[in-house]
Amino acid sequence: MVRAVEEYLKPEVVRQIARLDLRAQFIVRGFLQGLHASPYQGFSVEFSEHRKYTAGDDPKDIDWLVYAKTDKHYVKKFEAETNITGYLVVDASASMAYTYRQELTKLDYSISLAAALCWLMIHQQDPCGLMVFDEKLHASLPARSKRSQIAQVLSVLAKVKPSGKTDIARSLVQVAAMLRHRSLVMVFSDLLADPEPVRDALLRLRHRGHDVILFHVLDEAEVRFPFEGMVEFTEPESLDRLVVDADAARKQYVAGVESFREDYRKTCFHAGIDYVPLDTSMQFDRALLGYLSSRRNRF
Amino acid sequence: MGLSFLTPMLLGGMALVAVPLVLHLIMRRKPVKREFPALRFLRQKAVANRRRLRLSHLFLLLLRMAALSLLALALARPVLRGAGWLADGEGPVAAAFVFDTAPRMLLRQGNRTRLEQATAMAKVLIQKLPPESKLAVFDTAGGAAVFSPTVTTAAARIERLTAATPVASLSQSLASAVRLLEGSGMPRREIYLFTDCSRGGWDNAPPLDLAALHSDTTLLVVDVGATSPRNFAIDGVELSSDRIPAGATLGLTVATSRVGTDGSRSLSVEMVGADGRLTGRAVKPGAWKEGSGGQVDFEIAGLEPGIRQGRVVIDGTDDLEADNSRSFTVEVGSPARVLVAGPAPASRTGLFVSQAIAPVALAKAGKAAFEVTFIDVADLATLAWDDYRGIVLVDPPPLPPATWDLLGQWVSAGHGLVVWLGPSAADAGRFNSGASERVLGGGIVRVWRAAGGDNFLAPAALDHPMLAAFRRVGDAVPWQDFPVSRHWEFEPTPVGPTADVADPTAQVVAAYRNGLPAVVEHQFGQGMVVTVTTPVSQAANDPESWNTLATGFEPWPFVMLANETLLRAIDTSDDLNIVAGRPASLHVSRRDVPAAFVKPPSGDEFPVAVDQARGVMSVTATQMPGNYSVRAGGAAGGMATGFSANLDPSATDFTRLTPESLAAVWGAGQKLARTEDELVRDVNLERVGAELFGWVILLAAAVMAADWIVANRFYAPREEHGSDASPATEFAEAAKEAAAAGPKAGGGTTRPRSLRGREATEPPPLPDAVEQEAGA
Repeated sequence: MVRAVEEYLKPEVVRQIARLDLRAQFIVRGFLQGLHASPYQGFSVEFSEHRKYTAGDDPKDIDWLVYAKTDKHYVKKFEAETNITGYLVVDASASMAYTYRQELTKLDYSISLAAALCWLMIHQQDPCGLMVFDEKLHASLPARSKRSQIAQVLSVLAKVKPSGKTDIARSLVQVAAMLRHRSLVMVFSDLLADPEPVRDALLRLRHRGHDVILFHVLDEAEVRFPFEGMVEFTEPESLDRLVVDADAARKQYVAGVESFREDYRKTCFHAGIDYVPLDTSMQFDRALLGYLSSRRNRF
Repeated sequence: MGLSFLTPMLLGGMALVAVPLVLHLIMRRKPVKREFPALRFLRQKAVANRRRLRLSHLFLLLLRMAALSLLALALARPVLRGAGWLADGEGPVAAAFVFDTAPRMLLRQGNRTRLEQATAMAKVLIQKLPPESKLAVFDTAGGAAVFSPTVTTAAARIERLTAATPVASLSQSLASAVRLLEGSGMPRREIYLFTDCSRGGWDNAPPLDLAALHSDTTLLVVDVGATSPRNFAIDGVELSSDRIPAGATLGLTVATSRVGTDGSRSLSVEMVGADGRLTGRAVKPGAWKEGSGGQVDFEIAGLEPGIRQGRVVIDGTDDLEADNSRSFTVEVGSPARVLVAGPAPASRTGLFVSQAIAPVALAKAGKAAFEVTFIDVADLATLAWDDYRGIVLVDPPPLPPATWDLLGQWVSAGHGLVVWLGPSAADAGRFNSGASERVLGGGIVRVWRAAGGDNFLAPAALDHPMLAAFRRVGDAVPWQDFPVSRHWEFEPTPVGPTADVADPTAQVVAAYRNGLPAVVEHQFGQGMVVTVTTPVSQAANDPESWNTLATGFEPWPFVMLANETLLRAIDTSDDLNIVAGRPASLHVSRRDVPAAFVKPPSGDEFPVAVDQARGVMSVTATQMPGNYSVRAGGAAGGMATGFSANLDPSATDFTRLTPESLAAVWGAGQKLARTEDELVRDVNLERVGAELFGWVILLAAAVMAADWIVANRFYAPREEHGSDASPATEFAEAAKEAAAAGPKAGGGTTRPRSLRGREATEPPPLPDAVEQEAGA
């Protein structure tokens, strides 16, 4: 069982599943099954069930009706009490198409994650919408909670092709302008742009009452910088070039990335935004947990 | 030390260092190209990176050039030589073997004397000499400084080397060798010095001026010194006197020392009998102290009149025999006849002197050292002096120049004159004459007076032989108890440019407390004149007494002084105990014999001419230590005398010098060969040189390895090793490992380890609210 759950959540395994809907379902099921076997049990999702009381469980969760019938202690599950409107905002710029040695590019990883979250939300009767941007918004689907919405969202996601430069700040401002109701905005981007405008845009979103989860997706190579020797790097969006001694530059590079992430983490913390740093080698459960914890905090 | 090349043409290969330079510049490998979105994080440090990159490139370039240079150098086969740039390692050499042949080289260790060890090492060297080499052999026993006709004859000479009393020092022998080699006309010159590196050989030696050696002259020191010798030694024998009266006792003071052994040996005194055989006379246990010398005293009585010879010997054997015995010669016999001349009556004015040199009690017993005859000074010239060994002038009045001339002739023939100046001299102007000043070596100036008894004899040092007897007493001589209230000021004749070298001026032996001369000696011809500037002719109750030397309480210092001055004046004529190698001068009482026969310790008699005019003979062949006997004029009515020669202490001092002391002699860094292997190695290094091919090629390999490492570090696109297994397979295998490790307690999820060895990324920590919820 454990093996199956873990397997679902590994990007390289998910990559083998071609159909995005199946992929999303695959991820979510694996995640949820993992939750049941994990200490994180207790989140309010739509699956309700009883479980044998075990030492450590809170006695107030014991379902005494069941105890009256069966003479055994079972713990009650929780149910969702209300709905939340979610928007998946996906960066589809050229830099998101990058991977060095992972199965999934940053965009693939983001799409898989977005699809899983969409699937999860729709199954919770939460309306879910989609927006795709590079320099500006390209595609958008309004939030709906119908089951058919899953197919529409996945259909758009499946067609996304990475291209062009990115302007995250502008796109987020557009998103903020488009959302009328208080929503949960889930942003998937590598954030490889000037941080100041992006922060301003995020704060604006937040200021308008939206909950924001910022999934900062970087390639594993962008985080660890595994290159060696003399390398001439080309930036895919600007086509800038730079020759560096990778071994010598590694330490400084990694420190720079850490600092970049740390700056975002602080900004987001102060603004009440959930910042989830990810790289494409990481399992999806981390991202899903970010979503769930954010959803919980709304109520 | 020099560097040469067996194939110097291949050094041209060094031009190949241009190749990497060209390649580096025109064919620089391009870096691996990669797409990378997060370039912004690299740009921040781009400048520093670029500088570092340039330095790295330069380093790589230098490494490649160095590798090629070293390869070319290795192929040229560099050779490190001891000297010179001569490519032909087997060319003929002019070599000089300098041997230390002092008796200490007879020190035995490992069943071999040091000299035998040296000759054995020399044989090894001779075999290594290139063909047509010239070889000269030097030793400290002297010998001609010439090249041997052939190497074989040189080898034969080395084989015949024996230890002998050194004639030349090692430094002198070395200098001779350098001179000979310089005149050889050969391009390569080698000096091999065979020494025991001992204090005896090198102590007080001037530093070798190796810089003065020709640049092609190399010096190799072959150290044949013993490392752990065991030896007992007699460092010296001191006689109470070279001449003792018949019936008197001969005192011997033997200085001893010991090295490397804690045993004990006895000392024997042996005297040569009438038949020429040695007879033991006394035996005493030695005083052996490691490091510091000991002393043993002997008293030998009952010696027959005549020249008596003997030796002190250590019983038993040790590593060095040469210092186990010391010879001595003493003259025992009828007292020396001495004329004491003073103002009339001489028997009164000369009483104190005569009692000091020949006390009545001893004279009656026939044991006095001197037989005194008094004569009034006025009658001095009327007497024939040939029967007397010495004259003591007590308080002489001004003498006619003719008398001084006679005295001068008589003294210069080898006799002794002692003058005790006193009030009778009266006036310096009358006393001094050209003749008197020639004999005395100076003249009197005036009478000095010192009241209150604060002037007395005060010898500054007791180094002079005349004062040797006082050395045993040391500072305990109570000169201050014998004040000198008046004395003559004596002024030695100044040494001018016209002064006769053979007739040097008088020397002050001892002075008064006021610094003026008290005792003066003057070598005059073969004889000696001793002048004391205060008299001992006045009675104790004489109010005009000049001093209390003879009239004070227990005047033993005066007695000693009277004897020593007379002995000094008389004794200078014969050398009874000499250092081996130095000439011995002997008096021949018979003027009619033209030659005397000297019998050395080896027994082979040889004749020595006698200077009949002066009645002296000089023996120069005294290299062999031991007793020498001299006879002349036949068995009946002839004369017989003798002398002893002993080795200089340095000839048997084999104490090794410290490395610092040796470095001071021949400079730091001088090669020392102790074994045959070291010898061959050093000679090969000098002549053939040490080939450095191996080392250089090793260095080149190291540089190339460094180049490979650095180049790979810069250029090699070393990718991560991707696994062919699918991610699912990897996961399955990883999970299997995890399952094998067992489920964790509490039912927690076990995360598999990645096959790449990385920890699976942990989920982020939950916010506090979530954790609380989970707990609920």
